[in-house]
Amino acid sequence: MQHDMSILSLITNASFMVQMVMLGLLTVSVISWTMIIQKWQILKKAKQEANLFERRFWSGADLVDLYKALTQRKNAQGMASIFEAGFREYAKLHKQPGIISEAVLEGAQRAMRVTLNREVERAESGLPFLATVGSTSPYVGLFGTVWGIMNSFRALGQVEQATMSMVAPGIAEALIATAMGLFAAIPAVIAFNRFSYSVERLESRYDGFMEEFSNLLNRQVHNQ
Amino acid sequence: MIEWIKENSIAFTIAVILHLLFIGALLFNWEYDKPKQIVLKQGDVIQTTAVDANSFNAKIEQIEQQKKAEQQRKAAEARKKKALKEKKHREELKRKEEQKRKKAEAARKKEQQRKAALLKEKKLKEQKLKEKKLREKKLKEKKRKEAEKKAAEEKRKKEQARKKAEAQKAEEKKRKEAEQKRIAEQKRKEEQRRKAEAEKKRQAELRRQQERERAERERLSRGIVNKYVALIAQKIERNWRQPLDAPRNLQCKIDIRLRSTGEVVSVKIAESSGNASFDRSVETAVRRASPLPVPKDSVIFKEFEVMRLRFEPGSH
Repeated sequence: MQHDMSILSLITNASFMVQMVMLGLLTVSVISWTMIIQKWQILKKAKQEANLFERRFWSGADLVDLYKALTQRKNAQGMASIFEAGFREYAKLHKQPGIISEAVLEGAQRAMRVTLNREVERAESGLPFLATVGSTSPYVGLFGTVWGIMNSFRALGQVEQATMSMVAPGIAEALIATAMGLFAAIPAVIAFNRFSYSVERLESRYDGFMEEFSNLLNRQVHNQ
Repeated sequence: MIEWIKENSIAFTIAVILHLLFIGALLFNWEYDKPKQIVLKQGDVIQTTAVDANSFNAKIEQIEQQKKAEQQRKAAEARKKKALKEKKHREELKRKEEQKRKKAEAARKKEQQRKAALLKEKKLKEQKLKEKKLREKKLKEKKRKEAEKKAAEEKRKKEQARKKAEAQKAEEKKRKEAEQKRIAEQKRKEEQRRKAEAEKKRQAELRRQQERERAERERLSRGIVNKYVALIAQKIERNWRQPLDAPRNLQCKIDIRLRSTGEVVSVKIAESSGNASFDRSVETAVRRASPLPVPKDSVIFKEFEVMRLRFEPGSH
Protein backbone atom coordinates (compact mmCIF):
# COMPACT_ATOMS: atom_id res chain seq x y z
CA MET A 1 0.00 0.00 0.00
CA GLN A 2 1.95 2.99 -1.29
CA HIS A 3 0.54 6.37 -0.42
CA ASP A 4 1.03 9.54 -2.31
CA MET A 5 2.63 11.68 0.35
CA SER A 6 2.65 15.02 -1.45
CA ILE A 7 1.32 17.86 0.65
CA LEU A 8 -1.58 18.53 -1.69
CA SER A 9 -2.89 14.99 -1.58
CA LEU A 10 -2.48 14.94 2.18
CA ILE A 11 -4.72 17.99 2.45
CA THR A 12 -7.32 16.76 0.00
CA ASN A 13 -7.46 13.34 1.65
CA ALA A 14 -7.89 14.71 5.15
CA SER A 15 -11.16 14.22 6.96
CA PHE A 16 -13.82 16.89 6.74
CA MET A 17 -13.24 18.21 10.24
CA VAL A 18 -9.53 18.59 9.70
CA GLN A 19 -10.16 20.31 6.39
CA MET A 20 -12.52 22.75 8.06
CA VAL A 21 -9.92 23.53 10.69
CA MET A 22 -7.31 24.09 8.00
CA LEU A 23 -9.61 26.36 6.04
CA GLY A 24 -10.41 28.38 9.14
CA LEU A 25 -6.77 28.75 10.00
CA LEU A 26 -5.94 29.85 6.47
CA THR A 27 -8.65 32.50 6.57
CA VAL A 28 -7.49 33.74 9.95
CA SER A 29 -3.94 33.87 8.70
CA VAL A 30 -4.93 35.94 5.67
CA ILE A 31 -6.92 38.36 7.82
CA SER A 32 -4.18 38.73 10.37
CA TRP A 33 -1.65 39.43 7.64
CA THR A 34 -3.98 42.04 6.18
CA MET A 35 -4.22 43.63 9.59
CA ILE A 36 -0.48 43.49 10.08
CA ILE A 37 0.16 45.29 6.82
CA GLN A 38 -2.54 47.88 7.43
CA LYS A 39 -1.45 48.56 11.01
CA TRP A 40 2.13 48.85 9.97
CA GLN A 41 1.22 51.48 7.38
CA ILE A 42 -0.97 53.43 9.81
CA LEU A 43 1.57 53.47 12.62
CA LYS A 44 4.35 54.48 10.28
CA LYS A 45 2.27 57.33 8.95
CA ALA A 46 1.28 58.46 12.45
CA LYS A 47 4.91 58.54 13.48
CA GLN A 48 5.89 60.59 10.44
CA GLU A 49 3.05 63.03 10.97
CA ALA A 50 3.94 63.44 14.63
CA ASN A 51 7.52 64.26 13.64
CA LEU A 52 6.34 66.75 11.05
CA PHE A 53 3.90 68.45 13.38
CA GLU A 54 6.37 68.74 16.22
CA ARG A 55 8.84 70.41 13.91
CA ARG A 56 6.21 72.88 12.77
CA PHE A 57 4.95 73.51 16.26
CA TRP A 58 8.35 74.27 17.75
CA SER A 59 9.53 76.31 14.75
CA GLY A 60 8.14 79.38 16.49
CA ALA A 61 5.28 80.03 14.12
CA ASP A 62 2.20 81.79 15.40
CA LEU A 63 -0.19 79.34 17.04
CA VAL A 64 -3.23 81.05 15.54
CA ASP A 65 -1.82 80.68 12.06
CA LEU A 66 -1.05 77.07 12.71
CA TYR A 67 -4.56 76.49 13.97
CA LYS A 68 -6.08 78.13 10.92
CA ALA A 69 -3.96 76.10 8.56
CA LEU A 70 -4.98 72.93 10.36
CA THR A 71 -8.69 73.67 10.35
CA GLN A 72 -8.57 74.39 6.66
CA ARG A 73 -6.98 71.05 6.00
CA LYS A 74 -9.67 68.72 7.22
CA ASN A 75 -9.36 65.44 9.15
CA ALA A 76 -6.27 66.27 11.14
CA GLN A 77 -4.85 63.22 12.85
CA GLY A 78 -2.66 62.39 15.78
CA MET A 79 -0.83 65.24 17.40
CA ALA A 80 -2.39 67.77 15.07
CA SER A 81 -5.89 66.84 16.12
CA ILE A 82 -4.95 67.07 19.79
CA PHE A 83 -3.58 70.52 19.22
CA GLU A 84 -6.65 71.53 17.25
CA ALA A 85 -9.06 70.35 19.93
CA GLY A 86 -7.12 72.02 22.72
CA PHE A 87 -6.72 75.30 20.91
CA ARG A 88 -10.35 75.43 19.82
CA GLU A 89 -11.53 74.94 23.36
CA TYR A 90 -9.08 77.49 24.65
CA ALA A 91 -10.16 80.09 22.09
CA LYS A 92 -13.83 79.46 22.79
CA LEU A 93 -13.49 79.72 26.56
CA HIS A 94 -11.13 82.63 26.37
CA LYS A 95 -13.71 84.72 24.55
CA GLN A 96 -16.29 84.24 27.30
CA PRO A 97 -16.32 87.16 29.67
CA GLY A 98 -15.67 86.75 33.35
CA ILE A 99 -14.25 83.30 33.20
CA ILE A 100 -11.34 82.44 35.44
CA SER A 101 -8.11 81.31 33.90
CA GLU A 102 -8.07 77.95 35.71
CA ALA A 103 -11.37 77.02 34.12
CA VAL A 104 -10.04 77.94 30.67
CA LEU A 105 -6.97 75.78 31.14
CA GLU A 106 -8.92 72.90 32.53
CA GLY A 107 -11.40 72.94 29.69
CA ALA A 108 -8.66 72.95 27.10
CA GLN A 109 -6.90 70.10 28.87
CA ARG A 110 -10.05 68.03 29.05
CA ALA A 111 -10.73 68.48 25.36
CA MET A 112 -7.20 67.41 24.59
CA ARG A 113 -7.44 64.37 26.84
CA VAL A 114 -10.57 63.21 25.04
CA THR A 115 -8.96 63.59 21.65
CA LEU A 116 -5.85 61.80 22.85
CA ASN A 117 -7.91 58.86 24.04
CA ARG A 118 -9.69 58.69 20.73
CA GLU A 119 -6.44 58.77 18.81
CA VAL A 120 -4.86 56.06 20.91
CA GLU A 121 -7.91 53.92 20.51
CA ARG A 122 -7.72 54.31 16.77
CA ALA A 123 -4.08 53.27 16.77
CA GLU A 124 -4.83 50.31 18.99
CA SER A 125 -7.74 48.99 16.94
CA GLY A 126 -7.13 45.50 15.59
CA LEU A 127 -4.42 44.67 18.08
CA PRO A 128 -6.76 42.51 20.18
CA PHE A 129 -7.52 40.48 17.10
CA LEU A 130 -3.82 39.83 16.53
CA ALA A 131 -3.43 38.84 20.16
CA THR A 132 -6.33 36.42 19.88
CA VAL A 133 -4.98 34.85 16.72
CA GLY A 134 -1.55 34.55 18.26
CA SER A 135 -2.77 32.81 21.35
CA THR A 136 -5.58 30.61 20.03
CA SER A 137 -4.64 29.44 16.56
CA PRO A 138 -2.05 26.93 17.84
CA TYR A 139 -4.83 25.38 19.91
CA VAL A 140 -7.16 25.27 16.94
CA GLY A 141 -4.47 23.60 14.90
CA LEU A 142 -3.83 21.18 17.72
CA PHE A 143 -7.50 20.38 17.83
CA GLY A 144 -7.43 19.49 14.15
CA THR A 145 -4.41 17.29 14.72
CA VAL A 146 -5.95 15.48 17.67
CA TRP A 147 -9.11 14.92 15.72
CA GLY A 148 -7.22 13.56 12.71
CA ILE A 149 -5.09 11.24 14.82
CA MET A 150 -8.17 10.07 16.69
CA ASN A 151 -9.84 9.17 13.42
CA SER A 152 -6.84 7.39 12.06
CA PHE A 153 -6.54 5.32 15.23
CA ARG A 154 -10.21 4.48 15.12
CA ALA A 155 -9.81 3.20 11.58
CA LEU A 156 -6.76 1.30 12.76
CA GLY A 157 -8.73 -0.53 15.39
CA GLN A 158 -10.80 -2.25 12.75
CA VAL A 159 -7.93 -4.03 11.05
CA GLU A 160 -6.06 -6.94 12.57
CA GLN A 161 -2.59 -6.20 11.33
CA ALA A 162 -1.59 -2.60 11.52
CA THR A 163 1.33 -1.46 9.44
CA MET A 164 3.27 1.77 9.50
CA SER A 165 1.92 2.71 6.07
CA MET A 166 -1.61 2.67 7.45
CA VAL A 167 -0.88 4.93 10.39
CA ALA A 168 1.57 7.37 8.88
CA PRO A 169 -0.57 9.23 6.29
CA GLY A 170 -3.32 9.95 8.78
CA ILE A 171 -0.90 11.37 11.31
CA ALA A 172 0.96 13.34 8.68
CA GLU A 173 -2.20 14.97 7.40
CA ALA A 174 -3.32 15.69 10.93
CA LEU A 175 -0.01 17.32 11.75
CA ILE A 176 -0.45 19.74 8.85
CA ALA A 177 -3.19 21.36 10.91
CA THR A 178 -0.76 22.09 13.73
CA ALA A 179 1.74 23.45 11.26
CA MET A 180 -0.88 25.80 9.88
CA GLY A 181 -1.87 26.92 13.35
CA LEU A 182 1.72 27.81 14.13
CA PHE A 183 2.06 29.48 10.77
CA ALA A 184 -0.86 31.75 11.59
CA ALA A 185 0.18 32.35 15.19
CA ILE A 186 3.85 33.25 14.93
CA PRO A 187 3.54 36.39 12.76
CA ALA A 188 0.51 37.49 14.73
CA VAL A 189 2.37 37.30 18.05
CA ILE A 190 5.41 39.08 16.65
CA ALA A 191 3.27 41.82 15.12
CA PHE A 192 1.23 42.20 18.27
CA ASN A 193 4.29 42.74 20.43
CA ARG A 194 5.86 45.11 17.97
CA PHE A 195 2.70 47.17 17.44
CA SER A 196 1.75 47.45 21.08
CA TYR A 197 5.21 48.81 21.74
CA SER A 198 4.80 51.33 18.92
CA VAL A 199 1.38 52.41 20.16
CA GLU A 200 2.72 52.86 23.65
CA ARG A 201 5.50 55.06 22.42
CA LEU A 202 3.09 57.07 20.31
CA GLU A 203 0.83 57.55 23.31
CA SER A 204 3.64 58.77 25.51
CA ARG A 205 4.66 61.21 22.81
CA TYR A 206 1.10 62.53 22.55
CA ASP A 207 0.98 62.79 26.29
CA GLY A 208 4.20 64.73 26.44
CA PHE A 209 3.04 67.07 23.73
CA MET A 210 -0.22 67.67 25.57
CA GLU A 211 1.60 68.62 28.74
CA GLU A 212 3.90 70.97 26.91
CA PHE A 213 1.05 72.60 25.08
CA SER A 214 -0.86 73.06 28.36
CA ASN A 215 2.19 74.71 29.79
CA LEU A 216 2.26 77.07 26.85
CA LEU A 217 -1.38 77.95 27.27
CA ASN A 218 -0.88 78.41 30.99
CA ARG A 219 1.87 80.88 30.34
CA GLN A 220 -0.28 82.75 27.85
CA VAL A 221 -3.24 82.97 30.25
CA HIS A 222 -1.17 84.27 33.10
CA ASN A 223 0.77 86.76 31.00
CA GLN A 224 -2.33 88.68 30.11
CA MET B 1 -15.92 42.23 7.80
CA ILE B 2 -16.22 42.46 4.00
CA GLU B 3 -16.31 46.22 4.25
CA TRP B 4 -13.22 46.18 6.35
CA ILE B 5 -11.49 44.11 3.67
CA LYS B 6 -12.71 46.51 0.99
CA GLU B 7 -11.32 49.41 2.96
CA ASN B 8 -7.94 47.74 3.15
CA SER B 9 -7.93 46.15 -0.26
CA ILE B 10 -4.24 46.75 -0.87
CA ALA B 11 -3.18 45.18 2.40
CA PHE B 12 -5.57 42.29 1.79
CA THR B 13 -4.18 41.67 -1.69
CA ILE B 14 -0.64 41.69 -0.39
CA ALA B 15 -1.58 39.22 2.33
CA VAL B 16 -3.28 36.88 -0.12
CA ILE B 17 -0.32 37.02 -2.49
CA LEU B 18 2.02 36.26 0.40
CA HIS B 19 0.04 33.18 1.30
CA LEU B 20 -0.18 31.97 -2.26
CA LEU B 21 3.57 32.36 -2.65
CA PHE B 22 4.18 30.45 0.53
CA ILE B 23 1.87 27.62 -0.46
CA GLY B 24 3.40 27.46 -3.93
CA ALA B 25 6.89 27.26 -2.48
CA LEU B 26 5.77 24.51 -0.15
CA LEU B 27 4.19 22.48 -2.91
CA PHE B 28 7.28 22.75 -5.07
CA ASN B 29 9.84 22.14 -2.39
CA TRP B 30 8.14 19.28 -0.65
CA GLU B 31 9.79 16.80 -3.01
CA TYR B 32 13.26 18.17 -2.31
CA ASP B 33 12.80 17.99 1.40
CA LYS B 34 12.83 14.21 1.38
CA PRO B 35 15.42 12.70 3.67
CA LYS B 36 18.49 11.72 1.72
CA GLN B 37 20.36 8.53 2.21
CA ILE B 38 24.01 8.80 3.04
CA VAL B 39 26.35 6.51 1.15
CA LEU B 40 29.90 5.97 2.24
CA LYS B 41 32.28 5.02 -0.55
CA GLN B 42 35.25 2.84 0.04
CA GLY B 43 37.44 4.95 -2.20
CA ASP B 44 37.15 7.88 0.16
CA VAL B 45 39.91 6.53 2.38
CA ILE B 46 43.50 7.60 1.62
CA GLN B 47 46.17 5.03 2.10
CA THR B 48 49.37 6.20 3.82
CA THR B 49 52.61 4.67 5.04
CA ALA B 50 54.97 5.97 7.68
CA VAL B 51 58.49 7.04 6.47
CA ASP B 52 61.75 7.44 8.38
CA ALA B 53 63.05 11.03 8.13
CA ASN B 54 66.73 10.03 7.60
CA SER B 55 66.03 7.59 4.90
CA PHE B 56 63.71 10.10 3.37
CA ASN B 57 66.47 12.75 3.20
CA ALA B 58 68.93 10.23 1.80
CA LYS B 59 66.45 9.32 -0.82
CA ILE B 60 65.94 12.91 -1.78
CA GLU B 61 69.70 13.40 -2.16
CA GLN B 62 69.95 10.32 -4.23
CA ILE B 63 67.17 11.52 -6.45
CA GLU B 64 68.86 14.87 -6.92
CA GLN B 65 72.15 13.26 -7.86
CA GLN B 66 70.35 11.10 -10.32
CA LYS B 67 68.78 14.17 -11.78
CA LYS B 68 72.14 15.90 -12.19
CA ALA B 69 73.69 12.88 -13.89
CA GLU B 70 70.73 12.70 -16.18
CA GLN B 71 71.18 16.34 -17.16
CA GLN B 72 74.85 15.87 -17.97
CA ARG B 73 74.08 12.83 -20.03
CA LYS B 74 71.50 14.74 -21.95
CA ALA B 75 73.87 17.64 -22.71
CA ALA B 76 76.53 15.25 -24.10
CA GLU B 77 73.97 13.56 -26.25
CA ALA B 78 72.80 16.88 -27.63
CA ARG B 79 76.39 17.82 -28.61
CA LYS B 80 76.88 14.51 -30.39
CA LYS B 81 73.67 14.91 -32.27
CA LYS B 82 74.68 18.33 -33.49
CA ALA B 83 78.03 17.10 -34.88
CA LEU B 84 76.31 14.26 -36.66
CA LYS B 85 73.83 16.58 -38.23
CA GLU B 86 76.53 18.84 -39.68
CA LYS B 87 78.31 15.92 -41.21
CA LYS B 88 75.18 14.71 -42.83
CA HIS B 89 74.50 18.12 -44.25
CA ARG B 90 77.91 18.32 -45.92
CA GLU B 91 77.53 14.91 -47.49
CA GLU B 92 74.13 15.83 -48.79
CA LEU B 93 75.59 18.87 -50.58
CA LYS B 94 78.27 16.81 -52.27
CA ARG B 95 75.77 14.23 -53.44
CA LYS B 96 73.59 16.88 -54.98
CA GLU B 97 76.40 18.38 -57.06
CA GLU B 98 77.33 14.97 -58.44
CA GLN B 99 73.76 14.38 -59.45
CA LYS B 100 73.57 17.66 -61.34
CA ARG B 101 76.64 16.86 -63.32
CA LYS B 102 75.36 13.43 -64.32
CA LYS B 103 72.06 14.84 -65.41
CA ALA B 104 73.65 17.28 -67.83
CA GLU B 105 75.71 14.46 -69.45
CA ALA B 106 72.66 12.29 -69.88
CA ALA B 107 70.67 15.11 -71.51
CA ARG B 108 73.36 15.65 -74.12
CA LYS B 109 73.46 11.94 -75.06
CA LYS B 110 69.71 11.73 -75.36
CA GLU B 111 69.56 14.58 -77.85
CA GLN B 112 71.96 12.74 -80.21
CA GLN B 113 69.98 9.52 -80.00
CA ARG B 114 66.71 11.25 -80.65
CA LYS B 115 67.95 12.75 -83.94
CA ALA B 116 69.14 9.33 -85.26
CA ALA B 117 65.89 7.69 -84.28
CA LEU B 118 63.82 10.31 -86.09
CA LEU B 119 65.52 9.55 -89.42
CA LYS B 120 65.00 5.81 -89.06
CA GLU B 121 61.36 6.22 -88.16
CA LYS B 122 60.54 8.11 -91.29
CA LYS B 123 61.73 5.28 -93.49
CA LEU B 124 59.87 2.72 -91.46
CA LYS B 125 56.62 4.61 -91.68
CA GLU B 126 56.56 4.61 -95.44
CA GLN B 127 57.07 0.88 -95.59
CA LYS B 128 54.39 0.29 -93.03
CA LEU B 129 51.79 2.27 -94.92
CA LYS B 130 52.13 0.01 -97.93
CA GLU B 131 51.82 -3.13 -95.89
CA LYS B 132 48.81 -1.82 -94.13
CA LYS B 133 46.81 -1.27 -97.28
CA LEU B 134 47.38 -4.82 -98.36
CA ARG B 135 46.42 -6.22 -95.03
CA GLU B 136 43.22 -4.22 -94.86
CA LYS B 137 41.95 -5.69 -98.10
CA LYS B 138 42.52 -9.21 -96.86
CA LEU B 139 40.87 -8.44 -93.56
CA LYS B 140 37.68 -7.18 -95.12
CA GLU B 141 37.21 -10.37 -97.06
CA LYS B 142 37.73 -12.42 -93.96
CA LYS B 143 35.30 -10.38 -91.90
CA ARG B 144 32.49 -10.84 -94.36
CA LYS B 145 32.86 -14.63 -94.27
CA GLU B 146 32.99 -14.67 -90.53
CA ALA B 147 29.81 -12.65 -90.17
CA GLU B 148 27.86 -15.10 -92.27
CA LYS B 149 29.08 -17.96 -90.21
CA LYS B 150 28.27 -16.18 -87.00
CA ALA B 151 24.66 -15.51 -87.98
CA ALA B 152 24.04 -19.20 -88.62
CA GLU B 153 25.63 -20.13 -85.35
CA GLU B 154 23.56 -17.62 -83.46
CA LYS B 155 20.33 -18.93 -84.84
CA ARG B 156 21.20 -22.43 -83.73
CA LYS B 157 22.17 -21.24 -80.30
CA LYS B 158 18.93 -19.37 -79.82
CA GLU B 159 16.88 -22.42 -80.64
CA GLN B 160 18.87 -24.43 -78.18
CA ALA B 161 18.45 -21.84 -75.42
CA ARG B 162 14.69 -21.73 -75.90
CA LYS B 163 14.40 -25.48 -75.51
CA LYS B 164 16.61 -25.45 -72.49
CA ALA B 165 14.62 -22.69 -70.78
CA GLU B 166 11.39 -24.57 -71.29
CA ALA B 167 12.79 -27.69 -69.72
CA GLN B 168 14.12 -25.64 -66.83
CA LYS B 169 10.78 -24.01 -66.24
CA ALA B 170 8.99 -27.31 -65.99
CA GLU B 171 11.52 -28.61 -63.55
CA GLU B 172 11.32 -25.47 -61.45
CA LYS B 173 7.58 -25.82 -61.22
CA LYS B 174 7.85 -29.38 -60.01
CA ARG B 175 10.46 -28.51 -57.47
CA LYS B 176 8.39 -25.65 -56.12
CA GLU B 177 5.35 -27.79 -55.64
CA ALA B 178 7.36 -30.37 -53.74
CA GLU B 179 8.81 -27.63 -51.57
CA GLN B 180 5.40 -26.22 -50.78
CA LYS B 181 4.14 -29.62 -49.82
CA ARG B 182 7.10 -30.14 -47.55
CA ILE B 183 6.63 -26.76 -45.86
CA ALA B 184 2.95 -27.41 -45.29
CA GLU B 185 3.78 -30.74 -43.71
CA GLN B 186 6.34 -29.12 -41.48
CA LYS B 187 3.95 -26.42 -40.45
CA ARG B 188 1.31 -28.92 -39.56
CA LYS B 189 3.77 -30.83 -37.42
CA GLU B 190 4.96 -27.67 -35.73
CA GLU B 191 1.41 -26.67 -34.98
CA GLN B 192 0.71 -30.03 -33.44
CA ARG B 193 3.79 -29.86 -31.31
CA ARG B 194 2.93 -26.39 -30.15
CA LYS B 195 -0.56 -27.37 -29.25
CA ALA B 196 0.66 -30.30 -27.23
CA GLU B 197 3.11 -28.09 -25.43
CA ALA B 198 0.50 -25.47 -24.64
CA GLU B 199 -1.80 -28.14 -23.33
CA LYS B 200 0.93 -29.45 -21.13
CA LYS B 201 1.73 -26.02 -19.84
CA ARG B 202 -1.88 -25.25 -19.15
CA GLN B 203 -2.27 -28.41 -17.20
CA ALA B 204 0.86 -27.74 -15.19
CA GLU B 205 -0.41 -24.24 -14.46
CA LEU B 206 -3.77 -25.65 -13.41
CA ARG B 207 -2.10 -28.13 -11.14
CA ARG B 208 0.07 -25.49 -9.63
CA GLN B 209 -2.87 -23.23 -9.03
CA GLN B 210 -4.84 -26.01 -7.43
CA GLU B 211 -1.95 -26.73 -5.20
CA ARG B 212 -1.65 -23.12 -4.28
CA GLU B 213 -5.31 -22.87 -3.53
CA ARG B 214 -5.17 -25.95 -1.41
CA ALA B 215 -2.22 -24.59 0.54
CA GLU B 216 -4.01 -21.31 0.96
CA ARG B 217 -7.13 -23.06 2.17
CA GLU B 218 -5.12 -25.13 4.55
CA ARG B 219 -3.34 -22.10 5.88
CA LEU B 220 -6.63 -20.31 6.32
CA SER B 221 -8.28 -23.21 8.03
CA ARG B 222 -5.23 -23.60 10.28
CA GLY B 223 -5.58 -19.94 11.19
CA ILE B 224 -9.27 -20.38 11.90
CA VAL B 225 -8.62 -23.46 13.97
CA ASN B 226 -6.02 -21.62 16.03
CA LYS B 227 -8.36 -18.73 16.49
CA TYR B 228 -11.19 -20.90 17.72
CA VAL B 229 -8.92 -22.86 20.00
CA ALA B 230 -7.88 -19.59 21.57
CA LEU B 231 -11.50 -18.45 21.83
CA ILE B 232 -12.52 -21.70 23.49
CA ALA B 233 -9.67 -21.51 25.96
CA GLN B 234 -10.62 -17.93 26.75
CA LYS B 235 -14.23 -18.77 27.35
CA ILE B 236 -13.32 -21.66 29.60
CA GLU B 237 -10.97 -19.50 31.58
CA ARG B 238 -13.62 -16.84 32.00
CA ASN B 239 -15.90 -19.44 33.51
CA TRP B 240 -13.25 -20.92 35.75
CA ARG B 241 -12.90 -20.09 39.39
CA GLN B 242 -9.74 -20.71 41.28
CA PRO B 243 -10.34 -23.33 44.01
CA LEU B 244 -9.17 -22.06 47.37
CA ASP B 245 -7.13 -25.06 48.31
CA ALA B 246 -5.28 -25.43 45.04
CA PRO B 247 -1.86 -23.91 44.45
CA ARG B 248 -1.35 -21.57 41.53
CA ASN B 249 0.44 -22.37 38.28
CA LEU B 250 -1.25 -25.72 37.81
CA GLN B 251 -2.17 -27.03 34.41
CA CYS B 252 -3.98 -30.01 32.99
CA LYS B 253 -5.15 -31.47 29.71
CA ILE B 254 -8.80 -32.10 29.03
CA ASP B 255 -10.65 -34.04 26.36
CA ILE B 256 -13.84 -32.38 25.18
CA ARG B 257 -16.46 -33.73 22.83
CA LEU B 258 -18.61 -31.14 21.15
CA ARG B 259 -21.75 -30.96 19.10
CA SER B 260 -21.75 -28.87 15.98
CA THR B 261 -23.67 -26.22 17.89
CA GLY B 262 -20.81 -25.94 20.35
CA GLU B 263 -22.58 -27.67 23.22
CA VAL B 264 -20.35 -29.80 25.37
CA VAL B 265 -21.19 -33.50 25.19
CA SER B 266 -18.61 -34.73 27.62
CA VAL B 267 -15.54 -33.57 29.49
CA LYS B 268 -12.76 -35.77 30.75
CA ILE B 269 -9.46 -35.04 32.36
CA ALA B 270 -6.83 -36.48 30.07
CA GLU B 271 -3.81 -35.50 32.06
CA SER B 272 -4.35 -34.56 35.65
CA SER B 273 -2.75 -31.54 37.24
CA GLY B 274 -2.09 -33.59 40.39
CA ASN B 275 -4.63 -31.61 42.38
CA ALA B 276 -8.11 -33.10 42.49
CA SER B 277 -9.98 -29.94 43.30
CA PHE B 278 -8.23 -28.09 40.44
CA ASP B 279 -9.23 -30.84 38.01
CA ARG B 280 -12.78 -30.68 39.23
CA SER B 281 -12.90 -26.92 38.90
CA VAL B 282 -11.72 -27.18 35.32
CA GLU B 283 -14.38 -29.71 34.49
CA THR B 284 -17.03 -27.49 35.99
CA ALA B 285 -15.70 -24.53 34.06
CA VAL B 286 -15.97 -26.37 30.76
CA ARG B 287 -19.53 -27.37 31.46
CA ARG B 288 -20.40 -23.89 32.51
CA ALA B 289 -18.79 -22.45 29.37
CA SER B 290 -21.05 -24.56 27.13
CA PRO B 291 -21.90 -23.74 24.38
CA LEU B 292 -18.35 -23.12 23.26
CA PRO B 293 -17.56 -21.02 20.20
CA VAL B 294 -16.98 -23.31 17.19
CA PRO B 295 -16.52 -22.58 13.52
CA LYS B 296 -19.62 -22.82 11.33
CA ASP B 297 -17.77 -24.55 8.52
CA SER B 298 -18.48 -28.25 8.93
CA VAL B 299 -15.17 -29.25 7.39
CA ILE B 300 -13.21 -27.26 9.90
CA PHE B 301 -15.53 -28.28 12.69
CA LYS B 302 -14.31 -31.87 12.31
CA GLU B 303 -11.18 -30.77 14.09
CA PHE B 304 -13.28 -29.78 17.08
CA GLU B 305 -15.54 -32.77 17.42
CA VAL B 306 -13.13 -34.46 19.76
CA MET B 307 -10.47 -32.14 20.96
CA ARG B 308 -7.75 -32.16 23.51
CA LEU B 309 -7.09 -28.85 25.17
CA ARG B 310 -4.38 -27.80 27.54
CA PHE B 311 -5.81 -25.67 30.31
CA GLU B 312 -3.40 -23.29 31.89
CA PRO B 313 -4.94 -20.35 33.75
CA GLY B 314 -3.34 -17.00 33.04
CA SER B 315 -2.04 -17.96 29.63
CA HIS B 316 -4.82 -16.11 27.84
